[in-house]
Amino acid sequence: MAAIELDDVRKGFGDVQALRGVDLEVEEGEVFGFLGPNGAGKSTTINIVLDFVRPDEGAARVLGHDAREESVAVRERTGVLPEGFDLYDRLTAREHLQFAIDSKDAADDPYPLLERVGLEDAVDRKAGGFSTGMRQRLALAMALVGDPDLLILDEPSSGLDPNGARELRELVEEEAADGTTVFFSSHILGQVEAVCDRVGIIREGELVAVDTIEGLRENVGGGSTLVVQVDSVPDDVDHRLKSMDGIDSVTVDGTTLRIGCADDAKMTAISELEDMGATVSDFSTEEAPLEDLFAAYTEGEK
Amino acid sequence: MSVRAVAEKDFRDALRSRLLIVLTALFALFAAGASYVVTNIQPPQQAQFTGEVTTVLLIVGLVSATAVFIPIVAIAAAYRSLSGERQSGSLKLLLSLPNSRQDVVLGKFLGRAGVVSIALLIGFGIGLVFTAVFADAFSAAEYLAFVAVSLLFAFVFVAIAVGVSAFTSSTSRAAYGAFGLFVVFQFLWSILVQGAVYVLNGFSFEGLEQGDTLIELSQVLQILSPTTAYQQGTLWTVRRLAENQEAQSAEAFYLEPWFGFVTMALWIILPLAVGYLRFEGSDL
Repeated sequence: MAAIELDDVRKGFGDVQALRGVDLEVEEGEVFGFLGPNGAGKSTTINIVLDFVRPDEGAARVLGHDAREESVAVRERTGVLPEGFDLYDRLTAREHLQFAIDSKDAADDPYPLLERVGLEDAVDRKAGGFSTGMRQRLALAMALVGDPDLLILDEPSSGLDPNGARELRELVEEEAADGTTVFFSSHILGQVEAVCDRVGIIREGELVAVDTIEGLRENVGGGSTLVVQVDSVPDDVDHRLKSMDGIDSVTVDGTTLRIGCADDAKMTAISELEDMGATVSDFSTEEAPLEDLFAAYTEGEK
Repeated sequence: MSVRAVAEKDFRDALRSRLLIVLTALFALFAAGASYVVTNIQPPQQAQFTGEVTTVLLIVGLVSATAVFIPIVAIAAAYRSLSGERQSGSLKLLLSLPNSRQDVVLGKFLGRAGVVSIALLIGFGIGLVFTAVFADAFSAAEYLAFVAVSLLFAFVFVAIAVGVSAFTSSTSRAAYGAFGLFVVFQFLWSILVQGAVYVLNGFSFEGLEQGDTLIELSQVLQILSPTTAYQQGTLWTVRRLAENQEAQSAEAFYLEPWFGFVTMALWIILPLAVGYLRFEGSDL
């Protein structure tokens, strides 16, 4: 059974088509990164999964329940860190946790959960005085109440400092190791790369890719760059290399050549250079920066 | 029970608002002041007649003032209950938890009703002391009955304010809506009813007699105002307690003084139901 199943989900707000037919399957137990630029439809998708908004067309099933009709059953087994949420300024951290525990009918104790997110020193402080990072941590602790089967984190690292982001990553890994499905959204690929089994990329309301990070690299083509040092650059190197299979780009900088190519074309590129009379003194490969990979999916012509 | 979780959370939260402290203080001042005015400055006509201000007469004098003041307290305490959470985003936190939207509306109503009860009970408690001092013949039972009916009336406006708050995502619209309804019930209702009769009778009041359908209709409508219902309900209760007599039987059931309670119950259920249906069907 899939943890989250979206079937041709469409949603418009006035003239704006936020989602244009999204099909998505998140498997149980996987860590799924949901990526896209701001305004691409990430939050709308999550809001439909949580029944905050209702799709115009299509259906969503979460943990085997209909997201619309059986939303309470879904939320009984789901922990959520919503995007753009607010806390109750007059209630303490402990009272927030107690509210989540009462609502979920869980047997948890607030303190260990607050300790887990690093709020053990703020247990009886009112949330009104919390920093953005602390607010994020408190909401995260509420999401962990009742040991959920599914964690939905909408832009969880916004407001967290690098240290907090690392703790968040560790927490996601712990939960995943425990069998929890984690679905989280981000507009920065670098944040999800380290923890995600798979990522989905959404752009203008359409899912443009669902794959592992490695799979995405391969798909984009020229997933890596070959950097070659030569004694002298042969004439016409640009043209000759580019005419070969698997080589996308060649840039020359002094005696350094940067060749964008598929992995299996690297050795051919080097022997071709030597055939042209150049002596290769050194070479290395660089993986395409994640931002380039992300940009390849989310920018330019479709 | 999720309703209980929401109600408890809301009660704790709202109880700590500065607004509530201000409202309680105002209401206490009002209750004390009004008792003083009714007993010493402007006693009800009957008291001028007999020279004795009984608890019943005091309540008769008070009820037209509480009919204005209580709705203001109730609305001020409840108009932000849902629209405020929607505007700030805390509603997302509330609905991320397994609370249904019905739990949320009912829980909000119960939480705010609890908070308003506290404010009114403190206010009435202070009023009680003044009443005991000023009234010539003090009856605790009558005063407590008055407090109970007043709480019910407060719940009507809590329900109206929560219902309106569930209806809109903006706190300012929720405030306009709830206070607008209050103004309609308090000041415009009988004018509107009169106007409706006038229009339905062919733009005149001529030829209308007791027993006409139109007259009966206007009586029903008149009684359906929660403010009228409150005054009717209070008077019926305290008079029964005071004089220990059965109220005279009226011609129609809706003219019976106890019908005020039915009306108040309706005005609790209706706004909550309408607000819930709208809230249930809308995107956050």
